[in-house]
Amino acid sequence: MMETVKSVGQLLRKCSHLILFKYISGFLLSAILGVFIYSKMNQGLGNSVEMEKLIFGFDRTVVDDILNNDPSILNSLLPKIGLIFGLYFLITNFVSSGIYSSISNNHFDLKNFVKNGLKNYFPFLAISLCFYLVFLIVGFLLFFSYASILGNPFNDYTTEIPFFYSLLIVIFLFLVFCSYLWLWSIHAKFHYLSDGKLFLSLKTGFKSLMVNFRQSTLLLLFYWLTLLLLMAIMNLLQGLNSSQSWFVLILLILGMQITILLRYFLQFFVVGWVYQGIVNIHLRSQN
Amino acid sequence: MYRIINILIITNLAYFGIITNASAQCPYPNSTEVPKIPITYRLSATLDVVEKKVVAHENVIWTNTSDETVSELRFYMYMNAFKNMESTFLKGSGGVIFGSDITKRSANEWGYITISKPRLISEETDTLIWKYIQPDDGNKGDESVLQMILPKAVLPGESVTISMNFVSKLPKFIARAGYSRDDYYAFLHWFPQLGVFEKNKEGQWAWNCHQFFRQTEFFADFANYEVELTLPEHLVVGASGCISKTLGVNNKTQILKIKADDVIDFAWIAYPHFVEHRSDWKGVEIKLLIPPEHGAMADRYLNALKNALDFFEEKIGRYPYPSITLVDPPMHGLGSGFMEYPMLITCASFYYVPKSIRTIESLAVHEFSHQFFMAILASNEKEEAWMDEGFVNFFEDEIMDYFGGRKSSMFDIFGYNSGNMERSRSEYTSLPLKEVGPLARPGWEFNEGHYKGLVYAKTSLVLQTLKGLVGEKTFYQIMRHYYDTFKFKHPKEKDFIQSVKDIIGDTLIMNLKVDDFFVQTLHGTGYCDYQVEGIEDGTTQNIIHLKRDGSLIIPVEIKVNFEDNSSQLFEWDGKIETLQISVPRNKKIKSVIIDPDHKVYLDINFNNNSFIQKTSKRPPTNYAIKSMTWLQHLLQTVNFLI
Repeated sequence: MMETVKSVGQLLRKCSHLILFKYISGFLLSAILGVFIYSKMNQGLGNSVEMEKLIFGFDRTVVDDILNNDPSILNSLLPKIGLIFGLYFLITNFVSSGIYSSISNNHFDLKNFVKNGLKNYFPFLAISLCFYLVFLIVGFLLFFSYASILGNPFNDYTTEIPFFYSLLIVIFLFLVFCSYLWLWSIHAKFHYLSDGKLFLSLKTGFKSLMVNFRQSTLLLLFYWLTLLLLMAIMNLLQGLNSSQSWFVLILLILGMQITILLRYFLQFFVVGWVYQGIVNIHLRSQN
Repeated sequence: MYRIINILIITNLAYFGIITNASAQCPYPNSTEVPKIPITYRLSATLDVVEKKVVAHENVIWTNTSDETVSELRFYMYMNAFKNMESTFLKGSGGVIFGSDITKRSANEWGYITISKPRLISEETDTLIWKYIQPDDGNKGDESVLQMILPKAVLPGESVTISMNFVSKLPKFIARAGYSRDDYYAFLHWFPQLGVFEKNKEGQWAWNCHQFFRQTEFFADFANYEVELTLPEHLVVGASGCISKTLGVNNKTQILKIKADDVIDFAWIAYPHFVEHRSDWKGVEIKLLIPPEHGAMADRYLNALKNALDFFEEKIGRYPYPSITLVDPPMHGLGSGFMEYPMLITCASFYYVPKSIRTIESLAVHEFSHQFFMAILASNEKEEAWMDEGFVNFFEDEIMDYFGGRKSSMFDIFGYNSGNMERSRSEYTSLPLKEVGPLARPGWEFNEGHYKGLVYAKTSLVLQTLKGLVGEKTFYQIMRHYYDTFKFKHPKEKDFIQSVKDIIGDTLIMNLKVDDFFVQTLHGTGYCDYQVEGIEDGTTQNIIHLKRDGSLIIPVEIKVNFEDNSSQLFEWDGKIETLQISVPRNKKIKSVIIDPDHKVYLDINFNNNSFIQKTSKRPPTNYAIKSMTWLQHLLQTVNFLI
């Protein structure tokens, strides 16, 4: 176990600049929203003394008045967010195919990253779309069948307790499914890089996930616990009265960005672990 | 035999109030302040749980308190609104109420009320002649108002006693009254109830007894109620008034005797799974009927009610009734929630509601506030809904903000928060203000929608503005005077305005007359938006340019702050659309603020009310960063499969 942790740590260190690339692309795209919000707030408040109220925290009245006075803010916000998601999807696919290839080849230079990122761009896109399709179908079937079995929660139950807990269970089950689906997609991508066969990689990816199932479960447990910890830190930071001084505000910005960066590293910790698992299986089969 | 005698003795003792269960904790005060009550109802009803109906008898004594002779009586027959899709109520719903298609239901899922053998008690008369009438829309399919012709006119000061049998069948929930699974029954507006014989706008005595419209609520006269209900023993009952309970034969039924005096309505709700929580506030019995799954809400409801009782006692007057019962319906009975009846309110909750989301409390405070604005100050909810819902909304805002903070009384979660009054303001300012009509009009005239934004929210803002202009102390003097003058009466708009004038005279502020203020805010469609357009540097003087957008004119103060920390106050009556204020150039202006204390709460945009030379860039940076961070996390989450 410690050996694996060590290997994954080394892997993360080697590709940290590539992970940073992914983080920066997300940062820059999100900055479109940040700049938009900044300019609209300045436009809406300008030289108003109401601006001072926001120093002490969120103020619904001030925000409402900005939005009521310029309803186009919300109208133009949604297409912007849509565009950001679209661009991020396309960029991330390139970054992921580059990083996975770099891990697989054990070459972490930028040239190799770009070359393989471009080479595997469409197969990775196809694999990702396949998994999104599975995600949507299973999600639809799960929630649709749940709603059908449930009936009308306002009429068919003496209390809402069964509805409340069963919904929590269904959401939990769906999250568990998504977690394994994610691991499966990582397995499939590494198998594609070694086999070069797109649909076969889905099958072999699933097989290797099953072989590594116990370890994968522990890995997911670690992932979720760490993620929850990061989210708790994030929530604490959100609660800071951050507008009162530039010092606190900068501290907030740094704190928040560090949590996001750590989340990227956490994601690739899982990727590295899966890769190490595949390598170990391969080594065992050779022995 | 012994057992039967025993039951008879117990039943009789209970009837005369010698053996009481709840009434011992629910003493009815001897009120000397209540005017002569013109009506007494004696109702006895037996619940048929199979047919979802009561078979009942009604004796109603009506006294003619007018100076006219009266030859007919008019009764509300509300349950007929749920008889079929031909009723005015259901026609106005478009077939959908609270998102449910109400047209697809079996015959036994509709409701109705019928009467039989109506007669005068005092004389040996035949059955009285009666018919359904449609005084408002002429819809012959509507049977929500019944006219009963009297064989002999009732002279001023005379009383008449009518006896009749009636059957009231509950619908499966449509709105308010109804039944749902597991023996949940909400008998609301369930008996033939007299309208109000009062002077109309033309000063003529007439029956005020409108048909039941989708957008309107209720209006009835003060009465004393003596009610006897016979029900299966397993039902737990909440009702308007004080209940005493005895068991019936074989302990399979229970007989409830309920007394409610000086009230405008009588309602009751029954459900076997209610858990009863009791408390007391200065001798007022508080009873919560909550299904077991909502047990966690009991303390929240209780605190909210006690806060409201305290607030009203301090600001308006003491709650005059002996009890208040709060019913929290189970999820399948939610159709009966969100309503108010004298001494009985219905709320709504869920198995789990975080404490930082205070809708539970605000709803309880809202419905309780109706005890003052609906039950005691019994304005006409049909014709002047703003006088109850609007006032109630205001007091809900005041009470919630007082106890929960002006910026967090509604919710406070993940660093985002809102006060109750802020919520009301948002409901009003987000209306398409150039299209909406006046707020003071009958409910059935709100064809264009925006009922809540106007009747509830705008009224609350009008009162908040009035409070801002006259000051909190004077405002509550007005409210107390209004309450003292019109409690247990049916006040109208003019009565409230007169109450304002009684305290402050004809002028509200500067040259704004009280009448002008209310004409503009209640009957006008204008909105109000004061703006600082800019500061112009002159050679000897700096000129501040101010503007009023919208046709609602309310005088405001303007505060100019200077760099040397001095300040100067100006007044603007708002009559002209633009105003220039000159200040000497040698005094450097730091900031200009119109209405610095937000007295004119009706102003739809506070952000443009001021101009400050230097603003902090930290807030927009903060919000930009926070939104960016949320988006970054969202991007990572959504793209988890890449």
